[in-house]
Amino acid sequence: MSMQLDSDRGTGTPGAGAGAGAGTTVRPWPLVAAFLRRDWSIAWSYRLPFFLSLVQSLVTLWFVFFLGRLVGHRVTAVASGPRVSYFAFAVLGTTLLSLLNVSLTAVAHQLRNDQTTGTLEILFTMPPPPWITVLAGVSYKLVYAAVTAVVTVGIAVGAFGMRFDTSLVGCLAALVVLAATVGLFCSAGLVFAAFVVVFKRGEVMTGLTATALSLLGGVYYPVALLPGPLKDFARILPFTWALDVLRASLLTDQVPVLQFVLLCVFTVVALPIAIAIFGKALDQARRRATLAQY
Amino acid sequence: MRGAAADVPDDIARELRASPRTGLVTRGISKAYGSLVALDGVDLEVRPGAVVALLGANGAGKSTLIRCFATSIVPDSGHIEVDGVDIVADPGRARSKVGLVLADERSFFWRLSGRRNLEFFAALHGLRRAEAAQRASEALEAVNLAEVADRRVDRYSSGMRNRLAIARALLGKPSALLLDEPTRSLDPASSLGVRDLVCTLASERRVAVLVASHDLHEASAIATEVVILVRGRIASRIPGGGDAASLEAALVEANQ
Repeated sequence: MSMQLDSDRGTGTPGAGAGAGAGTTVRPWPLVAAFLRRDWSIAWSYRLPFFLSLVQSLVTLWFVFFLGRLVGHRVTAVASGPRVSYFAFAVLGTTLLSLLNVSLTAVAHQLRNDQTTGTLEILFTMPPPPWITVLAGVSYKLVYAAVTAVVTVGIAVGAFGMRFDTSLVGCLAALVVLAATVGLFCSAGLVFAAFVVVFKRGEVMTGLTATALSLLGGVYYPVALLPGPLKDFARILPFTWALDVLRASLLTDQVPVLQFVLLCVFTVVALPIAIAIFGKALDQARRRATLAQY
Repeated sequence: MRGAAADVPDDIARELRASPRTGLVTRGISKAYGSLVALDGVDLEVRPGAVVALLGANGAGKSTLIRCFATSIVPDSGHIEVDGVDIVADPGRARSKVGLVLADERSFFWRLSGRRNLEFFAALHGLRRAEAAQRASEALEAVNLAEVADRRVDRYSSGMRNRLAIARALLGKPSALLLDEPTRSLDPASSLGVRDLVCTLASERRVAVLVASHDLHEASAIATEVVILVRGRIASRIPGGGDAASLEAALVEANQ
Protein backbone atom coordinates (compact mmCIF):
# COMPACT_ATOMS: atom_id res chain seq x y z
CA MET A 1 0.00 0.00 0.00
CA SER A 2 1.33 3.43 -0.83
CA MET A 3 -0.16 6.85 -0.99
CA GLN A 4 0.71 10.40 -1.82
CA LEU A 5 0.70 12.28 1.41
CA ASP A 6 0.58 15.90 2.21
CA SER A 7 3.27 17.66 4.00
CA ASP A 8 4.38 18.87 7.32
CA ARG A 9 2.01 21.73 7.26
CA GLY A 10 -1.02 19.58 7.60
CA THR A 11 -2.88 21.51 4.99
CA GLY A 12 -4.24 18.33 3.56
CA THR A 13 -5.71 15.08 4.59
CA PRO A 14 -4.49 11.50 4.37
CA GLY A 15 -4.63 10.49 0.76
CA ALA A 16 -4.55 14.05 -0.56
CA GLY A 17 -1.75 14.93 -2.95
CA ALA A 18 -1.40 18.67 -2.73
CA GLY A 19 1.22 20.66 -0.93
CA ALA A 20 4.62 20.05 0.37
CA GLY A 21 4.64 16.30 0.46
CA ALA A 22 3.38 15.91 -3.08
CA GLY A 23 5.70 13.71 -5.05
CA THR A 24 6.94 11.86 -1.97
CA THR A 25 5.56 8.36 -1.96
CA VAL A 26 5.13 7.10 1.56
CA ARG A 27 4.17 3.53 2.31
CA PRO A 28 2.62 3.69 5.77
CA TRP A 29 2.77 0.00 6.64
CA PRO A 30 6.51 -0.56 6.10
CA LEU A 31 7.01 2.65 8.07
CA VAL A 32 4.82 1.39 10.92
CA ALA A 33 6.64 -1.97 10.77
CA ALA A 34 9.99 -0.16 11.09
CA PHE A 35 8.79 1.72 14.19
CA LEU A 36 7.39 -1.52 15.65
CA ARG A 37 10.74 -3.26 15.17
CA ARG A 38 12.60 -0.30 16.66
CA ASP A 39 10.42 -0.02 19.74
CA TRP A 40 10.16 -3.75 20.30
CA SER A 41 13.98 -3.95 20.29
CA ILE A 42 14.24 -1.02 22.70
CA ALA A 43 11.49 -2.37 25.00
CA TRP A 44 13.09 -5.81 25.01
CA SER A 45 16.40 -4.28 26.03
CA TYR A 46 14.61 -3.16 29.23
CA ARG A 47 13.09 -6.54 30.11
CA LEU A 48 12.06 -5.83 33.70
CA PRO A 49 9.78 -2.81 33.01
CA PHE A 50 8.36 -4.75 30.05
CA PHE A 51 7.10 -7.50 32.36
CA LEU A 52 6.24 -5.20 35.27
CA SER A 53 3.76 -3.26 33.16
CA LEU A 54 1.96 -6.55 32.44
CA VAL A 55 1.94 -7.30 36.16
CA GLN A 56 0.42 -3.85 36.78
CA SER A 57 -2.58 -4.78 34.62
CA LEU A 58 -3.08 -7.97 36.62
CA VAL A 59 -2.94 -6.07 39.91
CA THR A 60 -5.65 -3.70 38.63
CA LEU A 61 -7.73 -6.75 37.72
CA TRP A 62 -7.43 -8.13 41.28
CA PHE A 63 -8.33 -4.73 42.68
CA VAL A 64 -11.48 -4.54 40.56
CA PHE A 65 -12.33 -8.18 41.37
CA PHE A 66 -12.43 -7.50 45.11
CA LEU A 67 -14.40 -4.30 44.59
CA GLY A 68 -16.82 -6.38 42.51
CA ARG A 69 -17.33 -8.82 45.38
CA LEU A 70 -18.34 -5.85 47.50
CA VAL A 71 -20.71 -4.30 44.95
CA GLY A 72 -22.10 -7.42 43.21
CA HIS A 73 -24.65 -6.98 40.39
CA ARG A 74 -25.81 -3.52 41.21
CA VAL A 75 -24.76 -1.34 38.27
CA THR A 76 -26.30 -0.69 34.89
CA ALA A 77 -24.11 -0.78 31.79
CA VAL A 78 -26.06 2.12 30.26
CA ALA A 79 -28.68 4.48 31.64
CA SER A 80 -31.72 2.32 30.92
CA GLY A 81 -30.13 -1.10 30.49
CA PRO A 82 -30.26 -4.22 32.62
CA ARG A 83 -28.02 -4.58 35.66
CA VAL A 84 -24.62 -6.19 35.14
CA SER A 85 -21.86 -7.31 37.47
CA TYR A 86 -19.65 -4.55 38.79
CA PHE A 87 -16.62 -6.63 37.92
CA ALA A 88 -17.49 -6.78 34.20
CA PHE A 89 -18.51 -3.11 34.27
CA ALA A 90 -15.21 -2.00 35.78
CA VAL A 91 -12.99 -4.38 33.78
CA LEU A 92 -14.26 -2.88 30.53
CA GLY A 93 -13.92 0.61 32.03
CA THR A 94 -10.32 0.19 33.18
CA THR A 95 -9.31 -1.66 30.02
CA LEU A 96 -10.69 1.06 27.77
CA LEU A 97 -9.16 3.73 30.00
CA SER A 98 -5.72 2.11 29.69
CA LEU A 99 -6.01 1.84 25.92
CA LEU A 100 -7.29 5.37 25.43
CA ASN A 101 -4.84 6.79 27.94
CA VAL A 102 -2.05 5.47 25.71
CA SER A 103 -3.81 6.79 22.58
CA LEU A 104 -4.16 10.22 24.16
CA THR A 105 -0.76 10.64 25.77
CA ALA A 106 1.66 8.51 23.76
CA VAL A 107 2.14 10.89 20.84
CA ALA A 108 3.05 13.84 23.05
CA HIS A 109 5.20 11.68 25.35
CA GLN A 110 7.08 10.13 22.43
CA LEU A 111 7.64 13.53 20.85
CA ARG A 112 8.89 14.94 24.14
CA ASN A 113 11.18 11.93 24.51
CA ASP A 114 12.58 12.53 21.02
CA GLN A 115 13.09 16.20 21.90
CA THR A 116 15.12 15.43 24.99
CA THR A 117 17.12 12.51 23.57
CA GLY A 118 18.00 14.50 20.45
CA THR A 119 16.32 12.35 17.81
CA LEU A 120 13.42 14.67 16.96
CA GLU A 121 15.19 16.98 14.54
CA ILE A 122 16.71 14.18 12.51
CA LEU A 123 13.36 12.33 12.38
CA PHE A 124 11.67 15.46 11.04
CA THR A 125 14.32 15.93 8.37
CA MET A 126 13.51 12.51 6.92
CA PRO A 127 11.21 12.20 3.88
CA PRO A 128 7.91 11.15 5.56
CA PRO A 129 5.60 13.99 6.63
CA PRO A 130 6.21 14.57 10.36
CA TRP A 131 2.59 13.84 11.37
CA ILE A 132 2.95 10.37 9.88
CA THR A 133 6.26 9.94 11.67
CA VAL A 134 4.81 10.84 15.07
CA LEU A 135 1.71 8.70 14.63
CA ALA A 136 3.74 5.73 13.34
CA GLY A 137 6.09 6.36 16.26
CA VAL A 138 3.45 5.31 18.78
CA SER A 139 2.36 2.18 16.93
CA TYR A 140 4.30 -0.08 19.30
CA LYS A 141 2.72 1.50 22.37
CA LEU A 142 -0.75 1.12 20.84
CA VAL A 143 -0.14 -2.51 19.89
CA TYR A 144 1.29 -3.24 23.35
CA ALA A 145 -1.72 -1.56 25.01
CA ALA A 146 -4.14 -3.49 22.78
CA VAL A 147 -2.42 -6.81 23.49
CA THR A 148 -2.41 -6.02 27.23
CA ALA A 149 -6.14 -5.20 27.01
CA VAL A 150 -6.93 -8.50 25.29
CA VAL A 151 -4.81 -10.46 27.79
CA THR A 152 -6.45 -8.62 30.72
CA VAL A 153 -9.98 -9.33 29.49
CA GLY A 154 -8.94 -12.92 28.70
CA ILE A 155 -7.73 -13.43 32.26
CA ALA A 156 -10.87 -11.74 33.60
CA VAL A 157 -12.93 -14.29 31.67
CA GLY A 158 -10.73 -17.34 32.28
CA ALA A 159 -9.64 -16.81 35.87
CA PHE A 160 -12.24 -14.49 37.38
CA GLY A 161 -15.40 -15.71 35.66
CA MET A 162 -16.34 -12.53 33.78
CA ARG A 163 -19.24 -13.22 31.39
CA PHE A 164 -20.27 -11.49 28.16
CA ASP A 165 -23.80 -11.23 26.79
CA THR A 166 -23.25 -10.33 23.18
CA SER A 167 -23.74 -11.34 19.55
CA LEU A 168 -21.77 -11.05 16.32
CA VAL A 169 -23.28 -7.59 15.72
CA GLY A 170 -22.42 -6.54 19.26
CA CYS A 171 -18.82 -7.72 18.87
CA LEU A 172 -18.44 -5.94 15.53
CA ALA A 173 -19.90 -2.73 16.96
CA ALA A 174 -17.48 -2.95 19.89
CA LEU A 175 -14.51 -3.45 17.55
CA VAL A 176 -15.51 -0.55 15.28
CA VAL A 177 -16.03 1.73 18.27
CA LEU A 178 -12.69 0.72 19.75
CA ALA A 179 -10.89 1.51 16.49
CA ALA A 180 -12.78 4.80 16.07
CA THR A 181 -12.12 5.87 19.64
CA VAL A 182 -8.42 5.03 19.43
CA GLY A 183 -8.32 7.14 16.24
CA LEU A 184 -10.18 9.97 17.92
CA PHE A 185 -7.91 9.95 20.96
CA CYS A 186 -4.78 9.73 18.79
CA SER A 187 -6.06 12.86 17.03
CA ALA A 188 -6.40 14.57 20.39
CA GLY A 189 -2.90 13.23 21.20
CA LEU A 190 -1.60 14.90 18.03
CA VAL A 191 -2.99 18.22 19.29
CA PHE A 192 -1.17 17.66 22.62
CA ALA A 193 1.95 16.93 20.58
CA ALA A 194 1.47 20.24 18.77
CA PHE A 195 1.44 21.87 22.20
CA VAL A 196 4.74 20.14 23.06
CA VAL A 197 6.30 21.26 19.75
CA VAL A 198 5.53 24.89 20.58
CA PHE A 199 5.76 25.03 24.40
CA LYS A 200 8.06 22.00 24.96
CA ARG A 201 6.31 20.85 28.16
CA GLY A 202 2.93 19.17 27.83
CA GLU A 203 2.96 16.46 30.49
CA VAL A 204 0.67 18.38 32.81
CA MET A 205 -2.00 18.72 30.16
CA THR A 206 -1.93 15.08 29.14
CA GLY A 207 -1.80 13.88 32.75
CA LEU A 208 -4.68 16.11 33.78
CA THR A 209 -6.83 15.00 30.87
CA ALA A 210 -6.20 11.32 31.59
CA THR A 211 -7.11 11.78 35.26
CA ALA A 212 -10.23 13.75 34.36
CA LEU A 213 -11.35 10.93 32.09
CA SER A 214 -11.14 8.40 34.92
CA LEU A 215 -13.13 10.78 37.13
CA LEU A 216 -15.80 11.83 34.64
CA GLY A 217 -15.88 9.03 32.09
CA GLY A 218 -17.64 6.38 34.16
CA VAL A 219 -14.69 4.01 34.50
CA TYR A 220 -15.31 2.85 38.07
CA TYR A 221 -18.89 4.03 38.54
CA PRO A 222 -21.84 5.01 36.29
CA VAL A 223 -21.86 8.69 35.35
CA ALA A 224 -25.43 8.82 36.72
CA LEU A 225 -23.84 9.02 40.18
CA LEU A 226 -22.15 12.34 39.37
CA PRO A 227 -23.79 15.59 40.52
CA GLY A 228 -25.87 17.58 37.96
CA PRO A 229 -23.44 19.74 35.96
CA LEU A 230 -20.68 17.12 36.06
CA LYS A 231 -23.12 14.47 34.89
CA ASP A 232 -24.18 16.65 31.94
CA PHE A 233 -20.55 17.28 31.09
CA ALA A 234 -19.67 13.60 31.37
CA ARG A 235 -22.44 12.70 28.95
CA ILE A 236 -20.97 14.83 26.16
CA LEU A 237 -17.53 13.25 26.45
CA PRO A 238 -16.63 10.89 23.59
CA PHE A 239 -14.93 8.68 26.17
CA THR A 240 -18.28 8.18 27.91
CA TRP A 241 -19.95 7.35 24.60
CA ALA A 242 -17.25 4.80 23.83
CA LEU A 243 -17.68 3.15 27.22
CA ASP A 244 -21.46 3.13 26.82
CA VAL A 245 -21.23 1.44 23.42
CA LEU A 246 -18.62 -1.03 24.61
CA ARG A 247 -20.46 -2.05 27.75
CA ALA A 248 -23.88 -2.14 26.13
CA SER A 249 -22.74 -4.17 23.13
CA LEU A 250 -20.61 -6.65 25.08
CA LEU A 251 -22.55 -7.00 28.33
CA THR A 252 -26.17 -6.50 27.29
CA ASP A 253 -26.11 -7.13 23.51
CA GLN A 254 -27.49 -3.67 22.70
CA VAL A 255 -25.84 -1.06 20.49
CA PRO A 256 -26.53 2.59 21.38
CA VAL A 257 -26.75 3.80 17.78
CA LEU A 258 -26.51 7.54 18.47
CA GLN A 259 -23.22 7.32 20.38
CA PHE A 260 -21.89 4.82 17.86
CA VAL A 261 -22.56 7.13 14.90
CA LEU A 262 -21.33 10.22 16.76
CA LEU A 263 -18.02 8.56 17.61
CA CYS A 264 -17.42 7.50 14.01
CA VAL A 265 -18.27 10.99 12.68
CA PHE A 266 -16.09 12.71 15.29
CA THR A 267 -13.14 10.50 14.38
CA VAL A 268 -13.42 11.23 10.67
CA VAL A 269 -13.61 14.97 11.36
CA ALA A 270 -11.00 15.13 14.12
CA LEU A 271 -7.99 13.62 12.34
CA PRO A 272 -7.61 16.22 9.55
CA ILE A 273 -8.16 19.01 12.08
CA ALA A 274 -5.49 17.55 14.38
CA ILE A 275 -3.07 17.15 11.44
CA ALA A 276 -3.64 20.80 10.49
CA ILE A 277 -3.02 21.99 14.07
CA PHE A 278 0.13 19.88 14.33
CA GLY A 279 1.33 21.24 10.98
CA LYS A 280 0.81 24.82 12.14
CA ALA A 281 2.73 24.15 15.34
CA LEU A 282 5.59 22.61 13.42
CA ASP A 283 5.64 25.49 10.98
CA GLN A 284 5.85 27.92 13.88
CA ALA A 285 8.70 25.97 15.51
CA ARG A 286 10.61 26.02 12.23
CA ARG A 287 10.06 29.72 11.76
CA ARG A 288 11.17 30.41 15.34
CA ALA A 289 14.05 27.91 14.92
CA THR A 290 13.03 26.06 18.07
CA LEU A 291 12.52 22.58 16.64
CA ALA A 292 15.77 21.26 18.10
CA GLN A 293 15.23 22.94 21.46
CA TYR A 294 13.86 21.19 24.51
CA MET B 1 41.79 15.12 -2.88
CA ARG B 2 39.34 17.95 -3.51
CA GLY B 3 35.91 17.21 -4.94
CA ALA B 4 36.89 17.95 -8.50
CA ALA B 5 35.31 16.34 -11.53
CA ALA B 6 36.11 12.70 -12.18
CA ASP B 7 34.76 9.87 -14.29
CA VAL B 8 31.11 9.50 -13.39
CA PRO B 9 29.81 5.93 -13.08
CA ASP B 10 27.23 4.86 -15.68
CA ASP B 11 24.34 4.65 -13.21
CA ILE B 12 24.95 8.20 -12.02
CA ALA B 13 25.35 9.45 -15.59
CA ARG B 14 21.98 7.89 -16.50
CA GLU B 15 20.39 9.37 -13.40
CA LEU B 16 21.77 12.81 -14.19
CA ARG B 17 20.47 12.65 -17.75
CA ALA B 18 17.02 11.60 -16.53
CA SER B 19 16.85 14.17 -13.76
CA PRO B 20 19.36 16.99 -14.06
CA ARG B 21 20.65 18.29 -10.74
CA THR B 22 21.28 21.89 -9.88
CA GLY B 23 22.59 21.41 -6.34
CA LEU B 24 22.03 23.72 -3.39
CA VAL B 25 21.10 27.34 -4.08
CA THR B 26 20.16 30.32 -1.92
CA ARG B 27 19.24 33.79 -3.09
CA GLY B 28 19.29 36.51 -0.48
CA ILE B 29 18.13 34.40 2.43
CA SER B 30 17.91 36.02 5.83
CA LYS B 31 17.09 34.73 9.28
CA ALA B 32 16.95 36.58 12.58
CA TYR B 33 16.30 35.31 16.10
CA GLY B 34 14.72 38.40 17.58
CA SER B 35 17.35 41.10 17.34
CA LEU B 36 20.13 38.59 16.59
CA VAL B 37 20.77 38.31 12.86
CA ALA B 38 21.85 34.77 11.96
CA LEU B 39 21.75 35.07 8.17
CA ASP B 40 21.72 38.31 6.24
CA GLY B 41 21.09 38.16 2.51
CA VAL B 42 23.15 35.06 1.81
CA ASP B 43 23.65 34.09 -1.86
CA LEU B 44 25.23 30.67 -2.23
CA GLU B 45 25.51 27.97 -4.85
CA VAL B 46 26.82 24.46 -4.37
CA ARG B 47 26.78 22.76 -7.73
CA PRO B 48 26.74 18.96 -8.14
CA GLY B 49 30.24 17.65 -7.56
CA ALA B 50 31.33 20.72 -5.62
CA VAL B 51 32.36 20.82 -1.97
CA VAL B 52 31.74 24.19 -0.34
CA ALA B 53 33.19 24.68 3.12
CA LEU B 54 31.58 27.21 5.44
CA LEU B 55 34.01 28.80 7.85
CA GLY B 56 33.28 31.32 10.54
CA ALA B 57 33.29 32.00 14.24
CA ASN B 58 30.70 30.49 16.57
CA GLY B 59 27.35 32.15 15.86
CA ALA B 60 28.38 33.23 12.35
CA GLY B 61 25.35 31.44 10.86
CA LYS B 62 26.89 28.20 9.57
CA SER B 63 24.56 25.83 11.38
CA THR B 64 21.54 28.02 10.67
CA LEU B 65 22.29 27.84 6.95
CA ILE B 66 22.70 24.06 7.11
CA ARG B 67 19.43 23.74 9.02
CA CYS B 68 17.62 25.91 6.47
CA PHE B 69 18.66 23.46 3.75
CA ALA B 70 17.63 20.56 6.01
CA THR B 71 14.11 22.11 6.47
CA SER B 72 14.55 22.41 10.27
CA ILE B 73 14.53 26.20 10.04
CA VAL B 74 12.43 28.35 7.74
CA PRO B 75 14.24 31.51 6.57
CA ASP B 76 12.51 34.86 7.08
CA SER B 77 13.07 35.91 3.49
CA GLY B 78 14.86 34.93 0.30
CA HIS B 79 14.80 31.85 -1.87
CA ILE B 80 16.34 28.46 -1.02
CA GLU B 81 16.29 25.32 -3.14
CA VAL B 82 17.81 21.91 -3.68
CA ASP B 83 17.88 20.55 -7.22
CA GLY B 84 15.31 23.13 -8.25
CA VAL B 85 12.89 22.20 -5.44
CA ASP B 86 11.84 25.20 -3.34
CA ILE B 87 12.63 24.08 0.21
CA VAL B 88 10.12 26.40 1.89
CA ALA B 89 7.25 25.57 -0.46
CA ASP B 90 7.95 21.87 -0.79
CA PRO B 91 9.96 20.60 2.21
CA GLY B 92 8.74 17.03 1.77
CA ARG B 93 10.38 16.65 -1.66
CA ALA B 94 13.43 18.59 -0.58
CA ARG B 95 14.07 16.25 2.35
CA SER B 96 14.28 13.23 0.07
CA LYS B 97 17.16 14.92 -1.77
CA VAL B 98 19.44 15.79 1.14
CA GLY B 99 21.50 13.82 3.62
CA LEU B 100 22.14 15.56 6.92
CA VAL B 101 24.94 15.12 9.44
CA LEU B 102 24.42 17.15 12.58
CA ALA B 103 27.10 18.07 15.05
CA ASP B 104 24.84 16.57 17.73
CA GLU B 105 25.77 12.91 18.06
CA ARG B 106 22.75 12.15 20.27
CA SER B 107 20.51 11.71 17.27
CA PHE B 108 20.55 7.91 17.45
CA PHE B 109 18.65 5.31 19.42
CA TRP B 110 21.38 4.32 21.81
CA ARG B 111 19.85 1.02 22.93
CA LEU B 112 19.95 -0.26 19.34
CA SER B 113 22.96 -1.41 17.35
CA GLY B 114 24.43 0.75 14.62
CA ARG B 115 22.98 -1.62 12.03
CA ARG B 116 19.48 -1.53 13.57
CA ASN B 117 19.62 2.26 13.68
CA LEU B 118 20.52 2.48 10.01
CA GLU B 119 17.90 -0.08 8.99
CA PHE B 120 15.30 1.99 10.82
CA PHE B 121 16.34 5.24 9.16
CA ALA B 122 16.53 3.50 5.78
CA ALA B 123 12.88 2.49 6.23
CA LEU B 124 12.06 6.18 6.68
CA HIS B 125 13.47 6.67 3.18
CA GLY B 126 10.76 4.31 1.93
CA LEU B 127 12.97 1.24 1.57
CA ARG B 128 11.52 -2.18 2.23
CA ARG B 129 13.11 -4.35 4.90
CA ALA B 130 15.53 -6.27 2.65
CA GLU B 131 16.54 -3.14 0.74
CA ALA B 132 16.96 -1.26 4.01
CA ALA B 133 19.24 -3.99 5.36
CA GLN B 134 21.28 -3.97 2.15
CA ARG B 135 21.59 -0.16 2.11
CA ALA B 136 22.53 -0.11 5.80
CA SER B 137 25.31 -2.67 5.21
CA GLU B 138 26.67 -0.64 2.29
CA ALA B 139 26.64 2.56 4.34
CA LEU B 140 28.37 0.83 7.27
CA GLU B 141 31.06 -0.44 4.89
CA ALA B 142 31.51 3.03 3.45
CA VAL B 143 32.38 4.50 6.85
CA ASN B 144 34.37 1.49 8.09
CA LEU B 145 31.91 0.48 10.78
CA ALA B 146 31.03 -2.96 9.42
CA GLU B 147 33.00 -4.73 12.16
CA VAL B 148 31.09 -3.02 14.96
CA ALA B 149 27.76 -2.84 13.15
CA ASP B 150 26.01 -5.09 15.66
CA ARG B 151 27.34 -3.32 18.73
CA ARG B 152 24.92 -1.05 20.58
CA VAL B 153 25.37 2.65 19.83
CA ASP B 154 25.79 3.47 23.53
CA ARG B 155 29.01 1.43 23.33
CA TYR B 156 30.33 3.39 20.35
CA SER B 157 33.01 6.03 20.77
CA SER B 158 32.18 9.62 19.78
CA GLY B 159 34.09 9.15 16.55
CA MET B 160 32.14 6.00 15.71
CA ARG B 161 28.86 7.83 16.28
CA ASN B 162 30.04 10.61 13.98
CA ARG B 163 30.83 8.08 11.27
CA LEU B 164 27.46 6.42 11.85
CA ALA B 165 25.81 9.82 11.31
CA ILE B 166 27.59 10.07 7.97
CA ALA B 167 26.44 6.56 7.10
CA ARG B 168 22.88 7.58 7.91
CA ALA B 169 23.14 10.59 5.63
CA LEU B 170 24.06 8.28 2.74
CA LEU B 171 21.06 5.94 3.16
CA GLY B 172 18.72 7.87 0.88
CA LYS B 173 21.38 8.24 -1.86
CA PRO B 174 21.11 12.02 -1.55
CA SER B 175 22.02 14.45 -4.30
CA ALA B 176 23.19 16.92 -1.64
CA LEU B 177 25.05 16.36 1.62
CA LEU B 178 24.86 18.78 4.55
CA LEU B 179 27.64 18.24 7.05
CA ASP B 180 27.82 20.20 10.28
CA GLU B 181 31.31 19.63 11.70
CA PRO B 182 31.48 16.03 10.49
CA THR B 183 34.98 15.31 11.82
CA ARG B 184 34.65 17.13 15.14
CA SER B 185 35.29 14.11 17.37
CA LEU B 186 37.34 12.01 15.01
CA ASP B 187 40.94 10.88 15.33
CA PRO B 188 43.24 11.93 12.47
CA ALA B 189 42.98 8.63 10.60
CA SER B 190 39.18 8.63 10.78
CA SER B 191 39.07 12.29 9.72
CA LEU B 192 41.13 11.42 6.70
CA GLY B 193 38.72 8.59 5.88
CA VAL B 194 35.72 10.92 6.09
CA ARG B 195 37.43 13.51 3.90
CA ASP B 196 38.20 10.86 1.29
CA LEU B 197 34.61 9.67 1.40
CA VAL B 198 33.24 13.19 0.97
CA CYS B 199 35.52 13.87 -1.97
CA THR B 200 34.62 10.55 -3.59
CA LEU B 201 30.90 11.25 -3.21
CA ALA B 202 31.34 14.68 -4.74
CA SER B 203 33.59 13.74 -7.61
CA GLU B 204 32.20 10.32 -8.53
CA ARG B 205 28.55 10.51 -7.45
CA ARG B 206 28.17 14.22 -8.32
CA VAL B 207 26.82 14.99 -4.84
CA ALA B 208 26.71 18.67 -3.85
CA VAL B 209 28.39 18.96 -0.46
CA LEU B 210 28.02 21.82 2.00
CA VAL B 211 30.22 21.39 5.06
CA ALA B 212 30.42 23.66 8.10
CA SER B 213 33.74 23.38 9.88
CA HIS B 214 36.22 25.02 12.20
CA ASP B 215 39.03 22.86 10.85
CA LEU B 216 41.03 24.90 8.37
CA HIS B 217 43.10 21.91 7.25
CA GLU B 218 39.93 20.00 6.53
CA ALA B 219 38.44 22.90 4.58
CA SER B 220 41.57 23.37 2.54
CA ALA B 221 41.83 19.64 1.87
CA ILE B 222 38.31 18.98 0.57
CA ALA B 223 36.70 22.24 -0.53
CA THR B 224 36.34 23.40 -4.10
CA GLU B 225 35.30 26.71 -2.58
CA VAL B 226 35.56 28.16 0.90
CA VAL B 227 32.94 30.65 2.08
CA ILE B 228 33.61 32.73 5.19
CA LEU B 229 30.58 33.87 7.15
CA VAL B 230 30.73 36.79 9.55
CA ARG B 231 27.61 37.67 11.55
CA GLY B 232 25.35 36.05 8.98
CA ARG B 233 26.90 37.65 5.89
CA ILE B 234 29.28 36.19 3.35
CA ALA B 235 32.49 38.10 4.03
CA SER B 236 34.74 36.26 1.65
CA ARG B 237 34.74 33.54 -1.01
CA ILE B 238 37.91 31.62 -1.79
CA PRO B 239 37.61 29.57 -4.98
CA GLY B 240 39.73 26.46 -4.95
CA GLY B 241 39.83 26.40 -1.16
CA GLY B 242 43.39 27.62 -0.67
CA ASP B 243 45.74 26.32 1.98
CA ALA B 244 45.21 26.39 5.75
CA ALA B 245 47.51 29.35 6.28
CA SER B 246 45.76 31.51 3.69
CA LEU B 247 42.37 30.48 5.11
CA GLU B 248 43.48 31.51 8.57
CA ALA B 249 44.61 34.87 7.26
CA ALA B 250 41.34 35.33 5.40
CA LEU B 251 39.35 34.42 8.52
CA VAL B 252 41.25 36.90 10.67
CA GLU B 253 40.83 39.63 8.07
CA ALA B 254 37.11 38.92 7.62
CA ASN B 255 36.46 39.12 11.35
CA GLN B 256 38.28 42.43 11.85
